[in-house]
Amino acid sequence: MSEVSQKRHALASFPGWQGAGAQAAPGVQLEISPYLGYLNLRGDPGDERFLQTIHAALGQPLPLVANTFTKALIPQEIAQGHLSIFWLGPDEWLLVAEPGIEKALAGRLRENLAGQCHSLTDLTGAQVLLRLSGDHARDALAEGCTLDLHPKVFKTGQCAQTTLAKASILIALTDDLPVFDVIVRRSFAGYAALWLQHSGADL
Amino acid sequence: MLLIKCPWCGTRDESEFSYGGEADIARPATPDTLTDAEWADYLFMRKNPRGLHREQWVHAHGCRRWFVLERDTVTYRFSATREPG
Repeated sequence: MSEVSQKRHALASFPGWQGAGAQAAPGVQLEISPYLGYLNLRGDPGDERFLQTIHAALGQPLPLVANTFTKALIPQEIAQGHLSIFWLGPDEWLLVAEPGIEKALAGRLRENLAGQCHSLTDLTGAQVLLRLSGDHARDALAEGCTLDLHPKVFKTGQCAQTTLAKASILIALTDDLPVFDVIVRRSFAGYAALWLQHSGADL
Repeated sequence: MLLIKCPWCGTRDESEFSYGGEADIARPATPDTLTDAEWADYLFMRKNPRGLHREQWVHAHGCRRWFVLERDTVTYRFSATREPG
């Protein structure tokens, strides 16, 4: 499908969407990512063949350590861009790539995994990525997230599925600045983005 | 606030979990041979101990996996968690 640019973003009417980001408060920057491609992959991490097939297909291994993610360049022959792989559970991962690329990735994975036990689901359009950064990003999140986000506990390269103000989210620390990526269901995206703006404003 | 240890994700807040009732209740192998009383016993009768209780929980807002843990119904102290099965 090539009509990515014609799709309406879940937060198209959200204040601040048009710009690069919205200043939620001094020290808290909220940025709404444009469309991204999402794939959910499940398989047995105890199966060496499965792991090797994925590694060969994507050019990077699946993160097997709980609550971690990896990010690397996608092999040139598939597409130009980066791929992040988030650990979701003992046999479940979320693949996030630039828009459009997920189709090529899914095609390559299906081809290479043919005959092997696995599950691959395209979740593109179902999720929205919110990027929260700035000195007070941790404080803004702490208002509604029960996870301990202290830099000694939650380090760059870690991710976790948890709740933010009662909405289920996947949160990941992508940079020490800090920069948090919050992936939330499309239907909760407006709520989560508004909540983060208000939470930041309270500080 | 209760902290519950998911065997996969680690220690998380209780609000991420859902309770699934008493653990280790096996469906009878031959339901058609049971009396009504035996069937009712399987369906409805549950322990209600004062003290250690083995129960099922699901990490609903995390990895969405089920597990079994032991809870002291008096002190709410959680002990040994393990994968089901």
